[in-house]
Amino acid sequence: MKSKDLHRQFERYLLGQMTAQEAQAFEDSMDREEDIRQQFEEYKILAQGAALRGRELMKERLKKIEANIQNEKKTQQALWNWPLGTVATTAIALVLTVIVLALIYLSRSPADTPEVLFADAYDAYEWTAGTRDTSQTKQVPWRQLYQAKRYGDVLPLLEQHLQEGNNSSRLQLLLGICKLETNDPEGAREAFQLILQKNDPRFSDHAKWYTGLSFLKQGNASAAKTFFQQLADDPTADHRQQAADIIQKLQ
Amino acid sequence: MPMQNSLAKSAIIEHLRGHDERMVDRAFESLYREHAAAVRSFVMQKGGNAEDAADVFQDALIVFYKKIRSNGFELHCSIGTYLFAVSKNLWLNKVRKHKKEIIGVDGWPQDELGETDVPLMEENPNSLAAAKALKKMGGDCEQLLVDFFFNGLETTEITQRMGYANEQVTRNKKSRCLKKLRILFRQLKSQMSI
Repeated sequence: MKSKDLHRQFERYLLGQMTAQEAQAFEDSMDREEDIRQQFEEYKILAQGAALRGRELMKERLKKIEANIQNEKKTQQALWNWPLGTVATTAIALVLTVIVLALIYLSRSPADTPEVLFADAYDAYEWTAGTRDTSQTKQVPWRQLYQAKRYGDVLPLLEQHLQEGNNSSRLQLLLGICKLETNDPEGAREAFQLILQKNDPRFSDHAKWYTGLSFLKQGNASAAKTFFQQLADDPTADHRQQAADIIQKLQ
Repeated sequence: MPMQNSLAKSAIIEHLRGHDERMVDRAFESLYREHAAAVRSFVMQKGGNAEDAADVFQDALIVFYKKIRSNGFELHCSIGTYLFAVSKNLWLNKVRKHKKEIIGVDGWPQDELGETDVPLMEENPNSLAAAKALKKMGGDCEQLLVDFFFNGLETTEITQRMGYANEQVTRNKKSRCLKKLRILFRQLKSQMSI
């Protein structure tokens, strides 16, 4: 009989799959042939060895599972076993850190907004008339109104004066200021733009400064920065330091 | 390892009867979480230490695993009760074997449990040498023979699990593996002078 067939018989016998008659016949054959009995005994040992090896492997797996559970428990216990003082100190430190960060945020963030920077930096242009200024010599009525900060009243008078042909850069600047003060930043920029087109060295820096401020007032930081940068880059410009400060704050 | 919820009795039995090792491990993990503490407490009260308790519980899990996978086994009590009873028997046998003094071991309502006094697999110098030879052999042969003789898988199941073409391939492979194991076992036996 081939060993494969013999093994099949051994298996069936060991697993109790033989009928009573088959089992009896098998036992008789072992009694008759010592060789078959020896093979059967060896097969039984090999089967037991394989089962023992299976048990060893399973025990290794179970040990790993247990170790994982123990590690998990240790981690949890380690957290619970922190001394009360350490827990309290850590909690207080965390709360204080959060408060400090919140205060820093609250104190910094409004100052960084363009609108707030505008409010901090803006002052209306002060009218100190030059010798060649016709409005000085003629004692125009709206000069006093401007100095009294009645910009809404000045505006129609100034516009009329400009339409009459007196198109000086100073008057354009004053017009722009009045428009800024009466909440018309776009109109103000038109006036400042006319000064820049004329490239009048006496008023160009003012025009850039107030154009930048008019953008800040509207919350447009990047447009404002363009004009402030021109001033900051020019070592002889008026408002140079103020412009540099605002750029730094915007960053 | 993330915290797993306890599995229901039916899920545990289903996992242990299946062929997916991950699910088997998950079932074991659930059993550990639920029942290891009671066994540990018992063993330590009866003169054992934590290591003894872990060893006994592992053996009880293996007994339960083998029982669940054997034909015709029905569990008539809770898994916890069964595992505790098996663990208790295993520990008492171990203590008796080592002639330790036992004080106050309570009886257990055996009728409720069915067969829990399960002998562990036969350990003798020959079977231990065969186990050692199989460990040395390793690889597919080790897996195949363990699946057949320990996990009790049928040839069809082994064919599927090992990815063999058909059952005949599995049978041939098993025959070759047994032949190899016999040679290794004989070598080892002669070295150990068993």
